[in-house]
Amino acid sequence: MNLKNWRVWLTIIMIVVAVIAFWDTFKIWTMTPEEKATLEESDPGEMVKLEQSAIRLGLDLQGGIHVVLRVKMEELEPAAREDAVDRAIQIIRNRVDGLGVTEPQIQKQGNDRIIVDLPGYTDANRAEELIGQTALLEFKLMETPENANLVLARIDSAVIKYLDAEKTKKEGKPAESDTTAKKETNEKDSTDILSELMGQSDADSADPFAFDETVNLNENENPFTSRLDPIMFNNRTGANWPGFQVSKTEKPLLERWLNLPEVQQQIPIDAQFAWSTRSVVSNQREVYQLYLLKRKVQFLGKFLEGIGTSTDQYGAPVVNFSLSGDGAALFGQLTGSNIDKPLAITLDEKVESAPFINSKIRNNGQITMGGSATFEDARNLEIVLKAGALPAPVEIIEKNVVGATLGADSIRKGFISSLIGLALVLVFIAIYYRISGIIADVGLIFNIFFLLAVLAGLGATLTMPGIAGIILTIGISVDSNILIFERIREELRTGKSVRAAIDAGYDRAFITIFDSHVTTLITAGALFLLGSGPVKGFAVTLFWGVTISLYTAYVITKQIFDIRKAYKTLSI
Amino acid sequence: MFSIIGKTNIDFVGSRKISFVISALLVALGIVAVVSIWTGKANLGIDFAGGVMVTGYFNQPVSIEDVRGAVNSEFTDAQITELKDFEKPNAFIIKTARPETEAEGKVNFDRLNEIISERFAGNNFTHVSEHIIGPAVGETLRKDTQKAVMLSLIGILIYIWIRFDFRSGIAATITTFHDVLAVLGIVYILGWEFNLLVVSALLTLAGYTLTNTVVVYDRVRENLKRYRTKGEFAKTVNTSVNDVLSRSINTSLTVLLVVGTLYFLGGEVLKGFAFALILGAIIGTFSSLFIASPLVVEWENRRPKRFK
Repeated sequence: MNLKNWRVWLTIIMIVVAVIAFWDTFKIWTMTPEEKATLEESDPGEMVKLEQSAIRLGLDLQGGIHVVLRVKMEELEPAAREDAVDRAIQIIRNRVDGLGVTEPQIQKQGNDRIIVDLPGYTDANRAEELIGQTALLEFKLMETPENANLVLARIDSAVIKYLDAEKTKKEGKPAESDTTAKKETNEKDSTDILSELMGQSDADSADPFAFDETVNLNENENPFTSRLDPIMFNNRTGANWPGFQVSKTEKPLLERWLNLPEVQQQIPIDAQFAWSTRSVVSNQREVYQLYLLKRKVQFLGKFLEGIGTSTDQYGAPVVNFSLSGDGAALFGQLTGSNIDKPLAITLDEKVESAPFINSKIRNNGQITMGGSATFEDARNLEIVLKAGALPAPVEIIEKNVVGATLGADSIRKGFISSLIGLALVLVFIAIYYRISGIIADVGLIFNIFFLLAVLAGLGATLTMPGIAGIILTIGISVDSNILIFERIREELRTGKSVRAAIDAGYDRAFITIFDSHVTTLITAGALFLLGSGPVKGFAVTLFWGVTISLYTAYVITKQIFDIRKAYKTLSI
Repeated sequence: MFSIIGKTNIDFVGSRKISFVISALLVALGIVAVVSIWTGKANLGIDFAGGVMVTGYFNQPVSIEDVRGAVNSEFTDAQITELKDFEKPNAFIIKTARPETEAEGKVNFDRLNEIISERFAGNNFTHVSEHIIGPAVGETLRKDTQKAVMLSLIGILIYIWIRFDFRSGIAATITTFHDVLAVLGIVYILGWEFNLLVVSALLTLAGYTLTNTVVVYDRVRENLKRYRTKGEFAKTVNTSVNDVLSRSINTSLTVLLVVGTLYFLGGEVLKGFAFALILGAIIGTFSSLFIASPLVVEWENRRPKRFK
């Protein structure tokens, strides 16, 4: 295999890899808002996947919220300061998860700072409310399995009515083929779930609380319940308490149904549905737990004292707490009359843990974590309990809210003008250097395409300074070709043959191109190492743009020239 | 073959006295700009200075004087600009001065909202963007950026020193400083706002200047090998600059095509950025021709040591 062939193959491989890396970004950028909404509705999991593998746009481009919070340490007891920031982060994370932001980022900065980034989310008031509120840690009892079954049956019929109404509304419209296609995929889904359900109920057939009708559940008659996977929790006595699991991909749909007014009406006033804060992996699927709780608050987190983690006699992680005074009396009463029932611990209306009450607890309590729980799980619960017992007050010290309209306005203008600028450059080079100029243009287009592919592959975030980096890349890429072509012209003037002039032009220009690329890379590297925030974004695009430019402007354009072995004349 | 300029023989090196004077003026202007940035007198964007900035639009027509009157009654040094090319009419940007403490930003923001809703009751002011930035954040950003710029200059100095010689390294670094200062000075004099985008532009132009300088030095090195005549150093340098002239002009033109479009069509947000880049493209070309190489010639004339 000779060297030239080897390079051609490398180029082909690069193109293929770049197309794959850029594909999702391309799909999402060419989608209309309506198409996005439709996909979000029909397949939220796919939408999340797309968004994650596409180039993300920074707050300045797509709109969003960036908030820096300070934990008010001065308002806390010295003992409570230690992991105050972790507690606050835990609470904020819980709340932000409910907003449906694709890539929320919550980070600790320094000793008392928290950075919260919510790209794409622009409801500043709601976000501030959520982030700034003090945490509410509550203890609630669960509805009995019998009641839960009743409520679920009522929800099923309400959802059926809702779906029928929707269907009639849709059938009035011409988009018929669309709905049938959707139905087909749904049917396929429901058979999958059914088989899993049957497997599950076989194993638990001896259970007194198991749903008798489980086997007959189907999507048409039980649209809601058929999407729940029952699981059994065993308490101390070996008796079972049923729970429901919902796969991560189905959760948004069920949440939407639960929020419908006609479904809300079916839930008794003294009961409420609550999701688990975190998902767990069960049967190789990511699932959330759905609980039906009694609405009444039985106990408050503020009574908890001396929270810590340790291990029980079997070495399993446990979380300890103590109580005194009123708290002890209340908790004693609560636990004493509900032995062997689960007690849900909720933070901001989400269930953190639902341990069984094994005995009456007055002064010292211990929560044993489930079978596969790790110390990290115990530590998480500890932080949650502390967050409820010792809320960490925060204040907003920095806030950037870029409205979707302003973001869209600046991205549209920025992108369109960059594209026009690029087009002008392409035309200018083509006029000035004729056919050779068109070859340089091809190199430049490859440069930008590869750069976008790398950014997508890295999961980078594109910001306005990033666009500046791309513009500098265009300049440097074009400059390489101008250097080469001016050299070729010089060589032609000295009377060299066309082939010799091309080779000599590329040869002689190489050292200059290399030097100018390395100096730019040094700048980009320094900015990446030491710069912060947006400057870093500039450095990343510049670094990759320049690295790629060395290949596209030099190697690829040469490959195009080399397609023909001999030239009589050269259009340059 | 289509050329904007043919073979030239302009005396870049000979006219260095004039170009040094022009450069000195530009650099002096740049130093004034730097000093006023440090002392906070320059028109700093809130990303560096801290402060509150709200962009929004009123439902009903409002004159800028009315907004100014309302806001300035409490925030005396607040700046109000009308956002003319925004998709909604009656859009304004309101900017208040830097807060003294971190908590003050939020307080000012809330107060600003109060004033506007009191003064323009019934005429809703819808926010499209809100920024509150504490005084320390801008400082961290400024320090980090300074450090990064210093590191990259040292890196480039060393690289050019290795690839060419020490004098070229120094001269290239000086040229880069010169360009950045010159653009800073002009941006300052014209009253444009210094924000993060302008800094990105300065970094971009530093990279661009370096490329220009390296191209000229490369040609000088090559020509010195070819015409190794003693005492002809200045002449060789001048020939080299002329050799790369058409490349320099073409490259500048392409850069100007992109940033020019950005300036005219890129919208209000990108205007300052594009303006700084236009200046950068012009000054970067000027300095690579009139400063970078003549500097080396000047040095050689005073302390002769053959350019490698």
